[in-house]
Amino acid sequence: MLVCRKSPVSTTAQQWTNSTQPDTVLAYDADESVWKAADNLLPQRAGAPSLLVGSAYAPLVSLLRATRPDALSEVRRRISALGREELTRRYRSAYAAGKRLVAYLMANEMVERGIPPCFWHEVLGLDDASLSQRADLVLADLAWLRHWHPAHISAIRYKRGRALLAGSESVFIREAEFAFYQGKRPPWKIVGSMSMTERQQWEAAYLRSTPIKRAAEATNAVRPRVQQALHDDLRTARRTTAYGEVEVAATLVRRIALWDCSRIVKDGSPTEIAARYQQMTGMQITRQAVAKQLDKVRAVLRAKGDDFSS
Amino acid sequence: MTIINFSDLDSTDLRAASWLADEVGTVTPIIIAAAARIGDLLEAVAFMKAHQKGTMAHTVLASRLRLGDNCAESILDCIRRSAPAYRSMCEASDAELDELLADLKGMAAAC
Repeated sequence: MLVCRKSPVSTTAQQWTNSTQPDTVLAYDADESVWKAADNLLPQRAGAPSLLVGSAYAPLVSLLRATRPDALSEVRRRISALGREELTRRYRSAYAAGKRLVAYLMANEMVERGIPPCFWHEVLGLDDASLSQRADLVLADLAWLRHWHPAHISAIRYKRGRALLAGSESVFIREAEFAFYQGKRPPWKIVGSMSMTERQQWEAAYLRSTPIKRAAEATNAVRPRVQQALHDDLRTARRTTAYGEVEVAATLVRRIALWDCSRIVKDGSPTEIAARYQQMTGMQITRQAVAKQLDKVRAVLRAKGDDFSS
Repeated sequence: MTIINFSDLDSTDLRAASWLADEVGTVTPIIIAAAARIGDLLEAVAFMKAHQKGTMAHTVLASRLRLGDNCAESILDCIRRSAPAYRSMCEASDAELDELLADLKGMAAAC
């Protein structure tokens, strides 16, 4: 069987059933306007969820049921000792490799520690994710909502939605599977049925409505220009023994992160932006420092003729 | 063989039993009787979805399920017999956890 692919080669893991596995895969090279054998696609299959070779989709509850409780609790205990960077790194590699159980355990720990799902991934273009990955993303976003926004239950109109926040762990996983409906329900519908606020959608990695997605895309689009402007500004900053290149680089990273946070928390107070910054980086910052740094960022951007501060 | 009570099954398990009954052409009590553990039902669903109707592996497991509790062979053993290369969810989960645990232990030892 021959499979032709004209769209750009996706990094999404492909799942072939034994009977539909192609003999040859062709990819369209837009630069040379020719079809080429894409042997390099084959390794992506190795990255496909390893749990069920060839199967379409398995609810996470099936995987959890299949685990040994003693091993699970031992792993959880050891994960709780991991640092933030290590957790995120392990989550990303497990997510990319389709190790759903490992990704779930890391995700649970990050939720516990107050790291929102939007900061778990390097980029949030997650619409091309595989079915299993999307199921896990939905579960993670809902787990965040359940853990950190329990009062949101009063805003949810539907009984099943309320059960997600108020039910037991098993009820939560069951209702999350129901909400996901094997990938047939788009994320914006889940957002609507859960009456998620804008702030909650910004915290989510996958459950976002179109306006939030567009705003996030706009932020991503202008970020390089903002980075360049801030970099140019700091290049002329006076260096001292206490404020060298390392400190300048740290300042740049901090200002970009604060600018990002100010875009996420629209019209947010410095206190709210500081809280978001802590979620993003794990480092505390005072509201006074936030206000001061953001004033500088805005001044730099205004001087450059750009105003991406809001 | 352990007997699974109908009341022990949640909606996911019931859906799995119902899907299996449709797939192999029998009734849900027979399917539930064939399972030694609740997790066997989900393993059977995953296996059936990985092996299309008409394949030998699908046929072998379907025959086993139709026997209900009139067969000593467990569903997991049947899966292993019909497709030795297939990695069940149970095995895959164990392998994932063991790998992670070994990695974490190694990291702790290195520190």
